[in-house]
Formats: sequence, C-alpha cells, structure tokens
Amino acid sequence: MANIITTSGLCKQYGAAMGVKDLDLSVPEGVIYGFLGPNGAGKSTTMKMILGLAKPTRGTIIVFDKEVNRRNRLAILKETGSLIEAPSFYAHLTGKENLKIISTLKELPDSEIDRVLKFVRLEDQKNKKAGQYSLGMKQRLGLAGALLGNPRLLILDEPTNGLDPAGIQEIRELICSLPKSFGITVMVSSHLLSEIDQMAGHIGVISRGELVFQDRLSALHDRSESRIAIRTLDNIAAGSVLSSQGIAYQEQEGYLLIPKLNDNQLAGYFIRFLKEDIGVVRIEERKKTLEDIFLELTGMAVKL
Amino acid sequence: MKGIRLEFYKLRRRKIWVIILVLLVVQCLWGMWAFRNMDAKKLSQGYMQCLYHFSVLNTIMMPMIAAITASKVCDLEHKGQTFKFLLTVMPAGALFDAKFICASMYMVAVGVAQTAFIMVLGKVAGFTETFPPGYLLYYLIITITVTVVILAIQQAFSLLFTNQMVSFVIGITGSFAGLFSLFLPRNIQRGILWSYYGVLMPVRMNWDSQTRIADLQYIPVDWSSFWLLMGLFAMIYFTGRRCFARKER
Amino acid sequence: MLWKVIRGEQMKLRRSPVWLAFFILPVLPAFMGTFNYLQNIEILKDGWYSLWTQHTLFTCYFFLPATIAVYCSYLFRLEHTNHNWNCVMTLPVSALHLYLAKLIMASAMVIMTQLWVGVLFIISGKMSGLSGPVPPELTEWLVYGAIGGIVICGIQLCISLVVRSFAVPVGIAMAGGILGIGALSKGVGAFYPYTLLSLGMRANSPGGSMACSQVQFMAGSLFYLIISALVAILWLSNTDVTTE
Repeated sequence: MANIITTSGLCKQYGAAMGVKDLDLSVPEGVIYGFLGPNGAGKSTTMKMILGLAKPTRGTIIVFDKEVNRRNRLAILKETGSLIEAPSFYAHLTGKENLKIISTLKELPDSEIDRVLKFVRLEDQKNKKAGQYSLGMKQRLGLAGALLGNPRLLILDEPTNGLDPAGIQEIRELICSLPKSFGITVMVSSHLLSEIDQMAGHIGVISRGELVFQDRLSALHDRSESRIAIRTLDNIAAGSVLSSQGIAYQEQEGYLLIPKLNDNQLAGYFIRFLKEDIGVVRIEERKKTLEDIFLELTGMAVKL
Repeated sequence: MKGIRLEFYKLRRRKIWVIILVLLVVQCLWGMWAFRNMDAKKLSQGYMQCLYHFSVLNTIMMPMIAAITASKVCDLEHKGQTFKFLLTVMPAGALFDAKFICASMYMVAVGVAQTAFIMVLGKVAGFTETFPPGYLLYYLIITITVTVVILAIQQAFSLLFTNQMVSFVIGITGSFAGLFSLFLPRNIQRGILWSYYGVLMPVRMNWDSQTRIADLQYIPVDWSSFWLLMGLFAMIYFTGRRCFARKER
Repeated sequence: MLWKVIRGEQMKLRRSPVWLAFFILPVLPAFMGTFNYLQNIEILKDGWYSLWTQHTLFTCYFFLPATIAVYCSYLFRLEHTNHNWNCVMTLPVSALHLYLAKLIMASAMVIMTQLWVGVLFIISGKMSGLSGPVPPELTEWLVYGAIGGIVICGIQLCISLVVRSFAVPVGIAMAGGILGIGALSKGVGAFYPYTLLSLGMRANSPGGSMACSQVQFMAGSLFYLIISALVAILWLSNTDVTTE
C-alpha cells in the first residue's frame, strides 16, 4: 500500500522549545488515520506543516509523492480538503455563499455545494448568515468546505469540536464512510482515544511533539493483553511458589499479577497453593484498556 | 475604577501609544515646518502663530487620532468576541464609561504633549512675544475637550458596529468637513462638531486683502460655543451609551 | 485563474456596502469646495482650474489616502478574523493571485471614485455657472490620479497584510499623506508613494504640467507597486499562518 503522506525527521521549533520533534509519519492511502495526542502535543502544528500553513524547521514532508514546498504547494492543495483549528467563515455571508467562494476557487460546479450541504445536514440553514451559526453549525460548514470536490486527501483537526453527542455520532459515521464511498484518505486528529478507536484503521500517537506509537489500530489492541490478579491470605508464600515455578509476578495493592496462563496451568498452581495451606480469596482477569495504553504511551515520552 | 484599570490591562502589548506618538510627531514636524523661517514680526506673534496653526492641524489630525484610539480600544472585544462574557460580569454602561475614560487618558496625554511642545518651541525658536500662560491653558482645555467629544462619537460607532470601517469613515468624513468648514461662515462651523478646534480657537487672523498682510490677534473666549459643545457632548455620550446598552448580542 | 480569485473577492464583499464610503467622500469637497469657491470668486480667477483646486486639494493630501487605507484594512480584516487564513492558504490559489485580486478590487474602487470626482466636478462647475468648456486636461488629471491612488492601494494592502490591526494602517496612511506635503515642497514627490496621488491630480497646479516628468511619475508608481507586491508575496509564502 502506497503512502499518501510521509514525513521524515519533521521538526518545528518555537523559540527555544521544540513544538514537533523528529516526526516520521506514514499515512497509507485509503485509510482513516487517527492522529492522537493530548492537548498541545503538536497535532495542529503537524497538520499545518503538512498543508504548508507552517514551515518546518527541519525535515521533509511528501504528499502524493510530491515534496511539500512552494513549487508543489498548489498542486497538492488542489487535491486536499482541510479543517484546521476552528472553522473559517465570512460572518456576513450565508453558509451557501461561503461555500460558493471555495467552490469558485477550486473550480467546482454549483451542484457540489448542494451535495456537501446535504452531506453535513446543513441544507435547511444554508441561507442563514454564518456569523449567526452555532458552534456546531460552523463546524459542519467547515467540514462541508473541506469536502467540496471530493478531495483525495482530507485533513481534519478535531472535527467533532463543539458538536452535540448526536452530531458527533453523525459526523463520525460520515467520516467513516469516506474511504469506502469516495476513496478519500482521511487524517483526523483527536485528543480522545475512544473517538479515534471508533473511526481509524491506523493511528499515530504524539506526545510532547514526539511520535510514540504508529501502526494499525489492531496492533494497539494487541498490546492490551490480559493479566491474572490473585489475592491470597499469604502473598509472600504464594510468591515463592510462583517463582519456584519460574513465573514472573508483580505485587500490587495486595494482589499478585501474573501473565495470562492457560486454564490447566492456572488450576495447577491453585492446587499447589491449597497444598501449602495458602488460602486463595480472589482471582480476577485484568484487561488493560486502550485508555491505559494511551496514558502509558504518552507517559513514556515524558520519561524519555 | 476597577473597570478603567482593566481597560488599560487589556491594552497591554497592543502598543496603542506607538501609533499615537507617530501621528503626534508628524503633527509637530508639520508645525515646525510651518515655522521654518520666521521673521521678526512672526517671532513677535510666536505663540499666537502656534496656537493658530496647531488648531488647524488639530482639525486634521485629532479626529484621526481619536478614531484610531477608539477603534483600538473597542476592536479587541469584537475580535475576541468577548462582549457576551464581559456583559455578564459588568453592566454595559459601566463598560462604555470605562473604555471612554481609558481612551480619554490618551487624548489628555496628547493635548499635554502638544502644549509642552509649543512651550519648548517658543524657547528654542526665541519667540519675542510675552509668554501667555492663560491662553496656552485655554488651548490645552479646548484641544482636550473637543477631542474627547469626538472620541465619544467614535467610540459609540466603534462599539456598535463590528465593522470598523463604519467608524473610520465617519471619522475621516468628519475631519474633512471640519477642515473645510474653517473657510466657511461661523454659523455653519458651529453646526459641525469637528470644526470646534477652529470655532473655539483663541486667535483670529485678520487678512487685509489690500496690503495682503495677515495679522493675528487674541480674541475673547467664545463661551457660548463652548457650552453648546458641552451640550453636544452630553447628547452624543448618552445616546451612544444607551444604544450600546440596549444592543442585543 | 486570476479571474476566479477576483470573483471570489467580489463575493466576499457582498452585503457590505463599503463602497458607500467612496461615494460620500468626494461629495463633501464638491459641496464645500464649490461653496468656498463662490465665496471667494474675486480672488480665485481661474474658473474651472480654481474650482479643481478647491475640490481636490485636501482630498488627495490626506482624506483619500486615509479612505483607501480604511478600505484596504477592511479587505484584509476579512481574512484576519474567523480563522480565514487557514482556509485561504489551503485553497489552490497562489500568493501572487491573492494579492493581485485584492489590489484589483481596491483599484477598481479608486477608479470609480475618480470617475465620481470627475462627474461631481463637471456638475458643480456647471451649477456655479462657469463659462467656458470643461478643461480638456480633466481626463488626464483623473487617469494620473487613479494611478497614484492605485500605488497607495498597493502600499496599504501590504501594510494591512502585515499589521493585523484595522486602525494602525489608517494612521500610517494619514502620517504618510502629511509627510508627503514635505516631500512635495522639496520637489521629490515622484519618489514618495503618498504624493503620487496629489501629483497626478495636479491638486495645486492644475494649469501647468506635473511637478515631475511623466517618466519619473510612471517609474515611481511602478517601483512602489512592484515593491509592495514583492513584500506581500514574500510575506504570504514565508511566514507561518496564524489565526486569532
């Protein structure tokens, strides 16, 4: 699968601080790429550099096999739609007129305007001035503008900002449908893992300007392996039984944590505990949630 | 009082005084250029010359300075869309007052700087006219007063219209009308707010068309026009304040 | 492609009657200048030429530059607010075209204003009962005035692009216009951007020729237009987009 966006060694310096540091992103074609990170991790800055809105301090960005620079800028932008930071709009113009400006500059037919208005469910409000829109409606307008002309690549920065729960669900489904229906590659950022989990096939996790994870989403799920937690009346004795069998364990809040074993093995240890007169009071299977992994990943970068 | 302090706080890093200072310097340069070669007669009327020319220059410059200051003080609220929040913590009238007093401080500073400049110029150029403290004080008062009244109208428009073009067009048109009206009969002048720099000017030019000699002389203060201006001020200020308070957001 | 960008700019100006400013501004000197002319008809003996001075003197020194500055500020204010730079700079529009489209919009306004000044001049001359034909140089005054005005548009657009405030560029134009009086008196008007307007309109010497040669005038205009376009394009393509 070819990459639609590749960055290598991408850096952005603000004053003395590095906003983005040595970022090597690869976004495959035809997927939804979730770009995840806490607030202020450098998501918007990275997206702005991909779009040419900000100039990298170091490193290169390749989009559609073309390097992002002054010469290729227009050719890349022709096939790209985007919504960065907050929606753009001319307050004294109606929603439809705002889209008309974009479609004129992108040389698209008027039918496109009606299509995207319907797509983001703004057709009833299209003749209202954008300045009077609610935050959610402005967001939909921005999304409609990005979708005009079915671009090859769509870059969306926190697209569900300001939407109500029903709206979030709706926009999420809409984004999910784009690769299949139109072959659009979507790069979408969020600070919420749950949101990315429901949309993306690939993810990149960024923390303090550094990429800490990048792969298929399923690879992240694989990391959420389960562990068995045991609580006994005598954890020290139980521990020595386990280590004598070569089982690594961790003690945590009165529990012994061991890797997930198959049922027969596990049952064998319990029989041994009973033989040694160690009373077993709790046995639990513990699964790390994606949130835990996310926190761990982003915490990892702090230590580095 | 807290409101006024807050207004100054909000203007931090906006460097509002830079542009005011630039315009003031330009005006002073212009004034100096007008006095570049003074003969004995002009020196003997030095302060009168200053008061006369500066009043004319004020007609052109001060409305612009007022418009720029008012717009700067008000536009940051439009840009940050902060009215919705601000008006939940303070009444609209109080915000209007605070902004007005804050902006007026700059106008007072400009007036004082101008007067100081005239005094320095008088010493440096060696005016032979006896120093007229009363007239200079009067000049200071009318310069500040007229500017502050213009400021009130500018602030009202800058607050009421998000589009700052409206208030600037009013400022430019007003200043233009004020300058032109200096050449028109006094009764027309008194009907134009922006020409009060000329109306209240303490100096009159007598132009003798036979000898083609212009002579300056002090004239008594026109208090009736001053009170008329005060009336105008009250009207403008309270109308503006009321419209702002009543505006829905 | 440029045409498309101009169409876009036209759409952005819908529903904002900013042209009203340029409609009102010349009316003022037409009224008051004519009135003043009629009052002093014994001193002002040059008929149409005296009336022209009355109409244009103050206009082109400060007021037209300031109004142009207001308009240019408005054109960029549209982009400076509501995060519009993000949208504008991710559309397939080159920096040159963007700047040119704005310049053409502003220039169109200046040309309309010049036409309006001409119309008002002829009307007020006829109404004042001026004998003799309308001066044949009128077209020349207006055309050169328009060129001078367009130069101010170029400079002001550049300033309004870089300085994100609405008010500051207007102050700069005002200061620039006034300093221009000094430049004019020193005879270097053609080398100073804000005086090209009054030079072109012959505001103080309508009878004679320009205070500089036509070549100087054109060279000065071209120089400042190119410089401002260059600065704008370099600014647009080299600075990071920030929105407020």
